[in-house]
Amino acid sequence: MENVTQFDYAPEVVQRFVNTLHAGSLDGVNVVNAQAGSRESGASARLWLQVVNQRVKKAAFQGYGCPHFIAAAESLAEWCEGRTVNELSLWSWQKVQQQLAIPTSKRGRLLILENALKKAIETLISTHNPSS
Amino acid sequence: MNTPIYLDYAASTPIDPRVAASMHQCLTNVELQGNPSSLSHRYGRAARGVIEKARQQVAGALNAKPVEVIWTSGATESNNLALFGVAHYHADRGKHIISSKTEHKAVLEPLKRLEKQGYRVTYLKPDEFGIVHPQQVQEAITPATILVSLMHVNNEIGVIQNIGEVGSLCSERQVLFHVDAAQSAGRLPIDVKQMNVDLLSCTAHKLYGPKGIGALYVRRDPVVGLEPLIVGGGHELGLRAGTLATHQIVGFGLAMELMTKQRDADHARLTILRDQLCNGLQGIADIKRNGHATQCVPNILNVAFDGVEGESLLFALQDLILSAGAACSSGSDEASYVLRALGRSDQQAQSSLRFSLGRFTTEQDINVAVAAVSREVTRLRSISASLL
Repeated sequence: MENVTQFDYAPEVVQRFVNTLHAGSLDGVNVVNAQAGSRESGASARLWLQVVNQRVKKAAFQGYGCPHFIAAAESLAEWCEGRTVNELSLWSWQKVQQQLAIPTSKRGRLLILENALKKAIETLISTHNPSS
Repeated sequence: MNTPIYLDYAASTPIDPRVAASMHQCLTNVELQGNPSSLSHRYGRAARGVIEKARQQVAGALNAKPVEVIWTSGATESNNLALFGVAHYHADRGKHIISSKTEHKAVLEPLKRLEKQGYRVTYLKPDEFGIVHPQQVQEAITPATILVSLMHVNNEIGVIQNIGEVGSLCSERQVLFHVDAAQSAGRLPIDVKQMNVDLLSCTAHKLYGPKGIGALYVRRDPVVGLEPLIVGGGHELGLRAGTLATHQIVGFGLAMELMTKQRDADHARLTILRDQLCNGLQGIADIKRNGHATQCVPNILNVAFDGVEGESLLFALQDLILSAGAACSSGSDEASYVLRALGRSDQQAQSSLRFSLGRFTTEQDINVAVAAVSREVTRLRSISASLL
């Protein structure tokens, strides 16, 4: 039985939910974005990545979901910044679940973030290797 | 951190200081420490005396006779006693019960269990405003119908059902009528005789009294047959065994009396505050009121905020104490079944908040609440603007 209820949030969740430093969108020639999830399913996110010289210079997100989901999206965007394109696939939803003490019942929402990141990586790869 | 603003009176009201004082006095007066059933000595008789005074106070608010008031642990037990009690006692007359889809779980769950025991239950669907029309009840009654159970005021949306009319048509057809009045007792005028109500559930903690004490009105003339749930020492005319909680009952009695005395003043004041809240929230785009605009109590306002996730909104409004759904089920991720019965989508239901005001709510509280909701709805919408 889980000892974390729906309305118990770890301090880092509270901090990231209240201060969404990466909330917003990006535009420009070096920017890709990808969305996953849906409002109907209760969680949806779009991730923007600005990549310069194969490295993420800036990341931003928009998110619809519970505080755990918003905090995880904020954490993902922060994590992406400074990573190379190759390193992006190392993001682990399990680590985020542990770090933010996200209840097991909400694991599906972290997979939505993983999907958004994967789609963004695919777009980045196809953009930078148009012939492949 | 600021002191949070309490806007969850429909879940539970704070105890009125006058009620708390009466309970404290009861708990500290040695002469009231006897068992109220021990009528052979004066301490027992003294305890029985204050209990009977409280019974008169509760009965008076319902236009019932004191003997028709049975003490229980709260509205949930009262509902269980009414539903199981009637169903089991009258099973030989028929096994059909009528209720609605928007009842409290304390009615729906006993009904589910009765279905498993072979009873048939018709759950009436309210209209888009949450109103169950008496005509629906009339059409659902069959020769096998033994009981109609409807709530007076819905706990999530505050809609008032037409109890008098339903009572009248039940009486004409000799079908028993139970009313869950947890949200209305003391708050709205109730006359069980005039409304043809046979059983009525109420609880103290919704009317500035203590938690853990409630009552079931059971008509005595002619008597409503009821099978008890709890048996033992034959207390409460054999309908609910167990030693009576003197201080709880004393608190309930006074709370009910104060509610009745202050009803008109409270109603007028809460109407002004509710309208202030409603008008303030109108400044936020894409909101929708859940429930009926006029056939409602003044202390409950339920609003859907399109495009905002409910749990996040509730959490963002940490300085406000309020509910996203009914208190008993607000730990659940599930969208409100009441709002879904009104035709709201899961998303709309999930994006709804219930504001419930009370005796200690101030104009300043409402101003702060409106500003906080407006700010957080705007913020949450801004971080999800592009999403489908």
